[in-house]
Amino acid sequence: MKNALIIEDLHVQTVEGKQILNGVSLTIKKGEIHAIMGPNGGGKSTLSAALMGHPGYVITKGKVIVNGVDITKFSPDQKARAGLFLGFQYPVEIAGVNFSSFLRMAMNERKKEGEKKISPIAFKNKLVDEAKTLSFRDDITKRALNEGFSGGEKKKAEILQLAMLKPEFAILDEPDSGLDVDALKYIANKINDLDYEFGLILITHYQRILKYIKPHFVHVLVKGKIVKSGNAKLAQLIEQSGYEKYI
Amino acid sequence: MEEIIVKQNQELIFPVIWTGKEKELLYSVRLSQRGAKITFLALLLGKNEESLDIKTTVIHDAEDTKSEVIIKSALNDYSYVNFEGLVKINHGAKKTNAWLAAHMLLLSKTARGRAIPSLEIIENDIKAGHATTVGRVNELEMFYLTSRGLSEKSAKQLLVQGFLQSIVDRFPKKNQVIAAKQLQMYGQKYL
Amino acid sequence: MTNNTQPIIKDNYKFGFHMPEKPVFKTPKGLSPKVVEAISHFKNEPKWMTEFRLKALGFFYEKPLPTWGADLSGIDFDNMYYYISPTEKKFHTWDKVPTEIKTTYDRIGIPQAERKFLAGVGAQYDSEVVYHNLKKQWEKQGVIFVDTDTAVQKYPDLVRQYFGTIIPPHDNKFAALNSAVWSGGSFVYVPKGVHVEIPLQAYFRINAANMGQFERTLIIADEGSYVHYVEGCTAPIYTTDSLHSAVVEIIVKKGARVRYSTIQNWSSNVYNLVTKRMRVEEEGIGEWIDGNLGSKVTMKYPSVYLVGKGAKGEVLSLAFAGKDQHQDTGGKAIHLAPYTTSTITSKSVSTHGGRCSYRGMVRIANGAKGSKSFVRCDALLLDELSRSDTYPTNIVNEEDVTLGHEASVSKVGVDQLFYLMSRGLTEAQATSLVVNGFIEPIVKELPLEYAVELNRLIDLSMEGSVG
Repeated sequence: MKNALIIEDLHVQTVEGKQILNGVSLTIKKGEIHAIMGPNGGGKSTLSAALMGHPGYVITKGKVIVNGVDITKFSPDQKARAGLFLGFQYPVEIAGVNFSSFLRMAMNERKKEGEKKISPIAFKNKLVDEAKTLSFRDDITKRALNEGFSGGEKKKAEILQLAMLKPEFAILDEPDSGLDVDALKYIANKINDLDYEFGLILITHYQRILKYIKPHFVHVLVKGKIVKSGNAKLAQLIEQSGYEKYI
Repeated sequence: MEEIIVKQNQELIFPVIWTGKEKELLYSVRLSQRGAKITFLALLLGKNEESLDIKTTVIHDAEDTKSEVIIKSALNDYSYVNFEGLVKINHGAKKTNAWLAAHMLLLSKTARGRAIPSLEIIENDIKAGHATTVGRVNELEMFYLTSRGLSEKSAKQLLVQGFLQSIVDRFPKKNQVIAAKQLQMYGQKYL
Repeated sequence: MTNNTQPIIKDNYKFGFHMPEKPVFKTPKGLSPKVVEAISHFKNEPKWMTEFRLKALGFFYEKPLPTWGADLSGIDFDNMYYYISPTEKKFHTWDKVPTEIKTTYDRIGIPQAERKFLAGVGAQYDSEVVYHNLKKQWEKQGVIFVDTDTAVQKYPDLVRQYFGTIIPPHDNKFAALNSAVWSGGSFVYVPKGVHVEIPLQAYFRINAANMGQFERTLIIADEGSYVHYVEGCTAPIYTTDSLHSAVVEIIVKKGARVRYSTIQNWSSNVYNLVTKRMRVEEEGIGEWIDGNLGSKVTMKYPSVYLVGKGAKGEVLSLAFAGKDQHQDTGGKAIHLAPYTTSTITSKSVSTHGGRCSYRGMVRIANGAKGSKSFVRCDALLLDELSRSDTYPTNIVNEEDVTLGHEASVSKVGVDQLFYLMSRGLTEAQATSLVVNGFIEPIVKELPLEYAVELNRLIDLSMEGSVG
């Protein structure tokens, strides 16, 4: 199926052998926003990590298909080039790697043979413009990747990368955790204002962000399986009565 | 042996760059006046069959002294670095702050590294620590970069350069130019 | 108590000194090939063991005293008895036992019967009943747990296959000494797939011989088996022997797991120099839990040699040094195969001028790809007289590995003390709470009784050191 991310009966273990996901199936079409909620330990972060190919997890059964291509066994960079993006819950700090250079490199690596690479100046201008809409403390282009960033800045930086890289399918792992209301609003506005069609998986424990980004579908992930799916109203229900009935 | 004396309330940044010429580098730092602070930064770039024996000794003999010894090394081909670092905090050197770190990145199957960061402490009103890492680039950092679409090769290159650049960034301004040049030359061939 | 240093035996014998017909025996002071031969002869050992001992003696003479560790110049090799048969062991009277030792027994709640034994006043601790029942269970499973002397006689092939293979006599001067004059210690064999649920305690079969100076322990865990061996005790052992030089060899076969826990609290006149090593084969797990509280000087670095793919090794080391004590301890992890992992965690506490030195080695050989090692050593200095050293050696000859090491040294945080005292605790109570918390990650791996005794011991020490 074109224009869709299909997760088919996914079973995932940690490399040490602990079973976390027990058959997760989901289809996300471009233009759709799916929220995944659930109690701690239910497998939400594992899902995002496994989809992207995190070295700490192993897919033991099932498939991940993007635009008709089976990417299950792809390496993380191959998955990125196939159209996937992961917004980390705890973005890694990498000293000595300039934010701007790294992102430009990432953009250029996606370009096909013969396609013109983006020039440093053009890139920098675009980056500064996008960064303005997210209201960073100072010139992010000069800083090292996530180093010295506050929690909120790290999360905003993930969204900035999303805006620049324009992936076809994005998975955001708890983009709202640890954020104050202002930061949350900036991020939500940015995502809502993106000017192209993409599929979005929003992983969230509380549903703060869902006040600002309206999901089309809401799924509840408990003990490694999706136990309930519904529309945006489901999220409100959970906010009122918690996860108890699904455990 | 190079003896480094830091005076009262002086803050000294002492950079070292090794690109294969010397076989042995010995340094001795004495902090015997109150408030003396030293930041010792070594950038070691190994290739071919070069080997280096680098030894540093830092002695804290006065109150309120601070030392930070950071060794960052990238080793390719058959190169080898042996680092022995000793930090000694003598009795009476209260409020001393000492940190010793040696990080070695092995870039080829035949490169080797040895690190012995030692502490001898005879005063308890202090803070001291040390850390060592030897091996290849960090797995999680590689995942982060590749998940953004960088190939493994590009990601590794970026990480190694970043690793080395982060210490050059701390060199005194006047030494940064030479350091950057050496890094670039090393990078061209090896990264 | 007689202060008799003359040989008790009166008959002439070919060794040049006297050998008894009765089964009591004590070699004269000092070491010589004749002494070694006599020991072996008295024990009725097979020829290969006698030769092994003599060869080891040669290595002992050859090797110089190590100078890189603690100060060993006080050991008087000529002024020692290298073998005293159990029945011939001299005991002191209760009133000769130092007061601190008696107080400690009180505080940590040692039963009366045990006290006399621990203090070297009684001949044998009667734990026969406990031991007996467990013995039946082990026999059913095919587990062998006897003292090493017996093992040489009863299971010669098994012993000969492994004895001296993990720690060869020429390894170091004290392994050579032990190899020449060893006596007592435990021999354990666990058959394939057998899990020994209850920890084997040396304490069960303990008697004066097993508390000897030159114990030699050999543990063989066959494929897929599991055993936990516990040695020593928190109560201080009072002995006039000034040198304790033991050797522990352990083979962990494919998929097996061995945990060896020690709490050592020798009296403050003892030089405790021990060589301990585990060879861990494919997918095996080897764990050392090493607590060093007593002795004048301890030099001990439990090692794991990871020789098979996927082998794991762990060393948890706890050291406590008080007045005039030097604990020179740590661990070694040698990675000789791919995908092996090791962790060394060391926690030390120095007080009253005591000195704790962490000495460790991690070596990753070429070819051991995919291996990971992590070392963490933390030291607490409780007062301004005490000392802490860290000497970690890291050698990496393989690119595709991760090795990390972190260490920190500090005193008890002023903020922590203030917080606790503001809740009504005295400074001593607050300090011991913090110290107990500091060592908790290691203590929680010990069998419960040890953990409880250890905590009480710390409390006792803190009272002495604060206010």
